[in-house]
Amino acid sequence: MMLTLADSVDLAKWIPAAPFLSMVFCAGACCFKNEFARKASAWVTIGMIAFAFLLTCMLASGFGDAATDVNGLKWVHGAGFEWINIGDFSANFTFYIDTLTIIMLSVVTGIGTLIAWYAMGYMDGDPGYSRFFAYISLFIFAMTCLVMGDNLLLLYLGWEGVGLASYLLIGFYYRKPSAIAAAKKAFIVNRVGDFGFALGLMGVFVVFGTIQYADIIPAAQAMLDHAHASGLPENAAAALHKAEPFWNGGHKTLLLAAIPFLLMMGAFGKSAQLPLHVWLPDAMEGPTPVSALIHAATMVTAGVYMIARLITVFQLNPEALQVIAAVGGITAFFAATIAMCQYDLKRVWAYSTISQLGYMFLGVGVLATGGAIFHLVTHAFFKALLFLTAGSVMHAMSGQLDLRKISGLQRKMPVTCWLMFAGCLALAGVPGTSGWFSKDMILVAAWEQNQMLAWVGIITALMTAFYTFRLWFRVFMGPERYEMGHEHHGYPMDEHHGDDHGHHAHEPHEMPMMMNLPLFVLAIGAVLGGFIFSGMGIIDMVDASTAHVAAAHGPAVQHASAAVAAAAEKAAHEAKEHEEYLHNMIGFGTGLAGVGMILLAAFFHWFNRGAADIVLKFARPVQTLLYNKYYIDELYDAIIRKPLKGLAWFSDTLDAMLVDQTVVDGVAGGTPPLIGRILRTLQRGSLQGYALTMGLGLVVLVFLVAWKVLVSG
Amino acid sequence: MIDPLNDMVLTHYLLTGAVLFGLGMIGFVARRNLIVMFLCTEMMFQGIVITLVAFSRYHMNFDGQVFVIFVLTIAAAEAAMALGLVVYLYRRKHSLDADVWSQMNG
Repeated sequence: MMLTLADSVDLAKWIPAAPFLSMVFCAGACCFKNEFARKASAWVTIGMIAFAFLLTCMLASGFGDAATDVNGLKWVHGAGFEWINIGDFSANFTFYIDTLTIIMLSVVTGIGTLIAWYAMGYMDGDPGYSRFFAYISLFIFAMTCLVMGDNLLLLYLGWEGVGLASYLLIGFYYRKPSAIAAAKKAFIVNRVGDFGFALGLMGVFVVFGTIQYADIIPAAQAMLDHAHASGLPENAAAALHKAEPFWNGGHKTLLLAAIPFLLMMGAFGKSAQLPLHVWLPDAMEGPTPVSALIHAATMVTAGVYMIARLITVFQLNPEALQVIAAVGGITAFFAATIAMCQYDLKRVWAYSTISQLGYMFLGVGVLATGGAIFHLVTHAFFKALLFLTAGSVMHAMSGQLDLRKISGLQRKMPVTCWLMFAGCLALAGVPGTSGWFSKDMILVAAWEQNQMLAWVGIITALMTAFYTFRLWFRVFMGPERYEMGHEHHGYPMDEHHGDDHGHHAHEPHEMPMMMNLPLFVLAIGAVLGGFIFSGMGIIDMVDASTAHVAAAHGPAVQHASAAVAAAAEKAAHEAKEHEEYLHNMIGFGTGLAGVGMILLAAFFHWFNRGAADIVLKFARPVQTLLYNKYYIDELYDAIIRKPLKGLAWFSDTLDAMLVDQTVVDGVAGGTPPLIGRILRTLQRGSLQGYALTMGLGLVVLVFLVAWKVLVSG
Repeated sequence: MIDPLNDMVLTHYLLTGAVLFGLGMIGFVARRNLIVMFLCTEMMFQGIVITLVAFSRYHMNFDGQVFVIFVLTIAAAEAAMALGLVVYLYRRKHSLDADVWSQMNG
């Protein structure tokens, strides 16, 4: 059957609908505890996500011809249904599909399929099997809405939807107090960021009068052009502010300058950047496929996607971009230092994720959206692979994740060993692997804008190479020595849960081939992804969605004379040569230094582990500081939780003493008895007394009537 | 054919009713015996009833007389019940004095 190109766009609405349907199905399957319902929920979820991936591929192939050029943006409008329409405000459940959307959709549904496949085996025997797949479907549904929506409100819906799925999945083992605490922490920390994001969304509506991308982006572009034309390219918002007095709608320009900062708060929360990064390491309490899918490959990159999507709005305030770049660079560095000293396998990868997300923020901050999204894609492959192989180790070791207690698993788990090796190569940025390509793109762009941040990025890259292989050499190389853990899938070992794997007390074992299959696909992407995605032209695809970046920052050669044009061409040529030179220097320099760090890691963590202990002895205070993650959790406890608890105690005391004792018990509780005490003295108990009072009352009444009649009338 | 009362006769009837009511009230307040007090209330009833009948005849509107029949009926029912209560109270305290029940004060 041949589908026409228009069909592939029409079918786009099924990309979010498919996982939605599987969510409904799995929620129904939760009611049945038999084997069929469990198997069916896994297969339906995988099938629906794979179906969404197939539709994404069709969309990608049909996009080139279906796309229309509107206001300099090449995109397709995907039909959905009317959602909210009040006065000037309209937010429909319709889709904005451009190349950036397609890249994000491919990552979400493609990696999602592979991880769901792995999870089918990994979660086997779990009492909440169907529930798990219902949550995964919910997540994919929300994530596709997030990247496909044609307005900020639909993005916000997806944003909160993935937050909800993340909360539910971190707290998946809901009998474990630490998992519940981690789930709540993730949710509450994200509230801080989302508060800013919601304000930014409202700000966008106030300033632009719409929340549709198709209207916001050209409007922001026009403002940028106006600012450049008026010779004030440095700060577009300030330029507009000068042009437009405050009392004549000028407050909007102030708001315009604030919008990037507000939206940035949401991105920092969702993508775990300083100072809102504290939730991500704790989120590792969830099942490992969740860590791979949500907390490494897809959800945490939503912030990067959002900034890349609205890069024009961010450009209106260059200070905001500088803040993003700086926060990204600093986060990359700090998270990498913490990762060097963690002993928990998944926590090392968690801090590494924060660090790599920092790179992406550094990338968008220096307007290298292409590099940032490229890194997002390659990172999704290799970090998903690293988490899933870590999950295999955890599974084999009955929950043991402590690097000090695992060693030399190479012979026991050869396939996992070399799969993780592939992921480590990419994360370490060994020349030729996918991570090297994408990191290089970001570092070169950073070098051209801010050399200090570029140096931070380069040093971080070296640390990354070291901690990555520290972990790998510790786990798989050296003498074979290990201690098994005491739990199985987040449940204590003694807790009986129906299915018996029969390996609890046995030796570590390799995963079944069925489960390793998706990992091979990820490994291919991790190692060869750089060539594959560059070959697909991923940079051009992203730039097509954020094309104005180059236009706004390139030298203005319009309306120039031939001589000037020739000079500009020469300058452009020189700039290109310079860029190539930078790529060579930074790319190979960093890559080779990274290899050197890997050798250093091999020395300390494979050949001569005693030497590592001696070095540690000298660096004990530093190691303690890093092992405790710079005491940031303790700091937040002291400056936020403790004062809040103090306030709660104060309010409680105030409530007890002022409200309860004084107002309720004192005034409200005391008045009726007081009135009663006065009134009850009238009740004398003498029948004649009552009669007399009644008679006197009657006399008074008669007197009053008589008075009225005689005097007035 | 019934004639309406003239003003003079009406005044006599009203005075009779007022005297009856006043005597009943004085008796109710002054006496302590439950049965006598009860009889006094009946006297007050009759005072009112006479007034009603007199006005009814004066205005040639017989609604008042219909009221009287109702009042008498209710008075009869109430008398039966009130005497029953008096008997019951007497059994509790072996006295008909109203003051013995004065502990029901506030």
